[in-house]
Amino acid sequence: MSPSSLPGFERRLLDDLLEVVDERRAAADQAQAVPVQRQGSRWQRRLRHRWGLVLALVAVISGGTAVATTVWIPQLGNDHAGRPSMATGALPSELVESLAVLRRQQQDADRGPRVREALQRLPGTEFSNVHIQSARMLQTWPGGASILLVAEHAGATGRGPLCLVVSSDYGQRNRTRVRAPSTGQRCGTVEDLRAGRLAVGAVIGGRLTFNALVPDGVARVEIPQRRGRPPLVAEVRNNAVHFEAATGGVDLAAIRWLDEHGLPVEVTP
Amino acid sequence: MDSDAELLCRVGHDRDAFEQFYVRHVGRVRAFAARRCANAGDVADAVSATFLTVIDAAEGYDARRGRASAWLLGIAAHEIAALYRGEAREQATVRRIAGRRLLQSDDIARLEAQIDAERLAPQVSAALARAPKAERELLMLVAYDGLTPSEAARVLGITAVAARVRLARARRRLAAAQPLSSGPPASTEPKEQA
Repeated sequence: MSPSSLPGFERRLLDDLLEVVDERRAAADQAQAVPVQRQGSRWQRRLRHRWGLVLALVAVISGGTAVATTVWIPQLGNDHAGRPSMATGALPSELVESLAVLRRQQQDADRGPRVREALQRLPGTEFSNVHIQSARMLQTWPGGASILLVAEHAGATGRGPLCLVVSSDYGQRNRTRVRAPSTGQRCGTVEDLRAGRLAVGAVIGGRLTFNALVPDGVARVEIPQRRGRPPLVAEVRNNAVHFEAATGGVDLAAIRWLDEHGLPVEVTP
Repeated sequence: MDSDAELLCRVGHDRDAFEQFYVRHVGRVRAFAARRCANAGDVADAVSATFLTVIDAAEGYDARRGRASAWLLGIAAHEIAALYRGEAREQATVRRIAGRRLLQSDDIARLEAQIDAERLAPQVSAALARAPKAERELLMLVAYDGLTPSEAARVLGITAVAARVRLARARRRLAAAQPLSSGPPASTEPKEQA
């Protein structure tokens, strides 16, 4: 039997599962890449540093009306997984119109160590044209943070440019106990954003950790709890939501987006 | 053609290997789930959760401990149990692949038909329903899913000796609750004298 001869559900499931395999491989490549990059020779590091500086200056100069004015020199990608290029054009307007966090100035926290590390983990084989001035630190919590990166995908992957990245100390310390291999990154289009698909979840140490990127207009997220308990409510900050809950205690399929008045915000499937 | 063991070494990171393994086994996992789940949505969730776990756990497969198909059905049994504890659906949602979301109307009809087809004969069902749960699942694994007693023991987390003892007990119980065979029951009418 070939994949094309599978019935409908089984074929669609195969497509989704193959995406998980791809993400798992990319995560493994990235995890393997960082130590290799650190072992680079001094002249390699200097070369990267110079190119990074030149490209950052080009971005600022050519950006004209670009939001950011601070020059920073992030390293994109790594020696192992390749280096994505730096975007010099403006962000697509639909992204800026959908996410207030992209309309504000880039701040120091948006250029911090966790964001830099996330940029180093973007494989050049998968990404191109990274908008470094659009990198945003969304939320932080003890042992982790959520980050927004905007980058085009190399090749015809069909994935969108908005990437929600979750940086977790726990995953680095004890990788085998992170249940979801794709934890760390979810990329999609504006349509994915509006459909609630830009979410990353994992069961870590027996607790569910959930992060999602939400469009403008969503002020809080209501998460129903099981066993008759009242729903959890997580406040949205920087277009992002983060919550932790007991495994098996919440119904993620029934999450509701609420506006500032507590009214439901429509999710476009 | 690669063996299951060879494929499982690579399914966690190799699309082609995973595709081959999935195509080879998805029908079996679906049938396994259809025998144990109440509706098409649960079957879909069970199948998706099983193969998601395969991606995570394949590197831990040890061919010396039994066939890959038995290992796979062990995962499926675990996921179905978790499904009915309410955990697997959340895990699947966390991992973004809730099987039921991929179902369309023709899939639902097809899976419901399979659930009906896999349903046991009423006499067997009634006899099994009276058996303790541990014996029931063991008998299902051996008689309907084609596992050896040792493989079924591994799925259930018991020793092979315990499995054989339980199996013998289950068979005696079912034999006492005739008819067991799938054919028509033996006639009980008195035969005419020639």
